[in-house]
Parts: sequence; C-alpha cells; structure tokens
Amino acid sequence: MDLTHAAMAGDRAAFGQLVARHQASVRALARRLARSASDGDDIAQSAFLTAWRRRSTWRGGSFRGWVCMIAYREFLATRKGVRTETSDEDQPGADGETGERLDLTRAMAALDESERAAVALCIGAGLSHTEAALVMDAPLGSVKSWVLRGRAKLQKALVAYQPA
Amino acid sequence: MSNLPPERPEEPGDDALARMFAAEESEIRDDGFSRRVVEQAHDGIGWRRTAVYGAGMAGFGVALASLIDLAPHLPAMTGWFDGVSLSLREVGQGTIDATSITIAAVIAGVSFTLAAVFAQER
Repeated sequence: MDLTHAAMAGDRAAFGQLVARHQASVRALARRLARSASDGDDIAQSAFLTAWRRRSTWRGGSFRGWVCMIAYREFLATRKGVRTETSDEDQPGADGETGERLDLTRAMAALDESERAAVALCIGAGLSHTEAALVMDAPLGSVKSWVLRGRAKLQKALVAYQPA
Repeated sequence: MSNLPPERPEEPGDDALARMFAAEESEIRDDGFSRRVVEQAHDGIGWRRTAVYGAGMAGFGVALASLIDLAPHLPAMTGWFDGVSLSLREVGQGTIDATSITIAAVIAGVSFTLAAVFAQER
C-alpha cells in the first residue's frame, strides 16, 4: 500500500508524511490566493485537516491536486463577506522578501482574481488546465484564457520590475 | 551613432516563470506546520464542540421551561399563534402533560445537537 492509500485508510503517521511532503506547495498556493502568508498558512492548514476528515471521499488520483482543490474552496469560503486586510507583515517586501520573489509577489497581486487563481494552480502548483478547471469549477476554455492572460501580464510586469 | 532601438529587457519565458514559482515554494520551510496539522488530525466527534452545543441546548431547555412557567400569564393572541398560546396556557394549567413536552424538547435538543455536530464534521 502506498503512502497516500495508507493515509486515506486512516494511518496518521502516513498522513503526517504526506503533509510534510506537500505542505510547501499547498502553502505556496494558498499564500498566492490569499495574498498573505499568515492567511495562506491558515487556509493550507484547514485544507489538510479537511482532507483528513473527509478522507473517505478521496477517489484516487493525485493527493496534492485534491488538497489544492480543498485549499481553493477554503480560500473562497474564507473570502466570502470578508474583505482581506493585509497586515504590515504581509505586505510585499516584509519577511525578508527581496529581488525576484518580491517582483513575483507584486506582479501576482496585480492580476485579476481568476487570473491569479488560474496561474497559481497551473504554473505555480503544476496542475493541468483540466485539473484547474475542476478545482475552480469553471469551463476549461475560461481557465486556459485566464492562464494565458495572467501569464502575459506577469511577464510584462516582471520586465518592468527588472532593474534598468 | 547607432539607429538600433534601445535594448529592451527580455520577458521571462514559461520556464523562467515556473522557476520563479518553484524558487518561491522552495523557500517555505516546514517550521512545525506538519506537526501542528497532524496534532489536530483526530478521528470522531470533537468532544469540546459537543460540550459547547450541549450547553447551548441545555440553555434552550431552560428557556423553554421558563416559557412554560410563564404560560398562564401570556396574553391571548389572535391568528395561528393563538393556538400556541392556548396550548402553553393549558400546559401551565396542567391540562397537557408537561413531562411529555419536556421529553419532546429534550429529544428535539439532542437531535439538533447531533445534526449540528455532524454538519460541522462534514
């Protein structure tokens, strides 16, 4: 039995190993969606716990993709009716963000929400367009379009941030 | 003097973008995150939550009992509520068995509590 199947069968130790393996990518996705490190980590933690509670609903496939889907839905749920307030700690440039990483954070912040989510899922988390469409519950064509537009905007913005 | 256009910085390609995302991700350290998640990953119903809901329902029961005590003093009302008011007054006067009402309230409270707990767990 592989690690994912063991975890989904209720093995906490196996689940712990899965969390350790995927925490960085899920937290990165959640941080990009929430545009805040602390909110993103809360969303990622909540997503993993939801995955554990609902492990009986896992139907095979990529565990990471499944948790990313849960994280995206957690993000939508936390965002409902709550205007995101970013603390000083979450502003670009805080927490030792420098250079390339800061540029990427700023460029991502300038995208529309759908574009940012699609880019974070497809380019950031490495999901296919089809998987991202399932996660976002959106038509495949729209997701492709968001990724295309978001990528173009990112590329343009990152050029602008490059030092002369 | 050259007629060449000023040199523009090159836009990062798909690989460069993916590399930037990967670099950002690689900077995220576990710093106890996995441990915290696993510590909170429990099976079964959360007993603390059950206690909170239970206390809430106990309060509901007390409020209901107080309402029954107040029943004889309720004003007569018209319309559909009149029937409810009348029933409550009958309870207060002992026409309807107050124990049955209490048992029904307890069953309703327990059902509500369980429904709330399972709704939270889903």
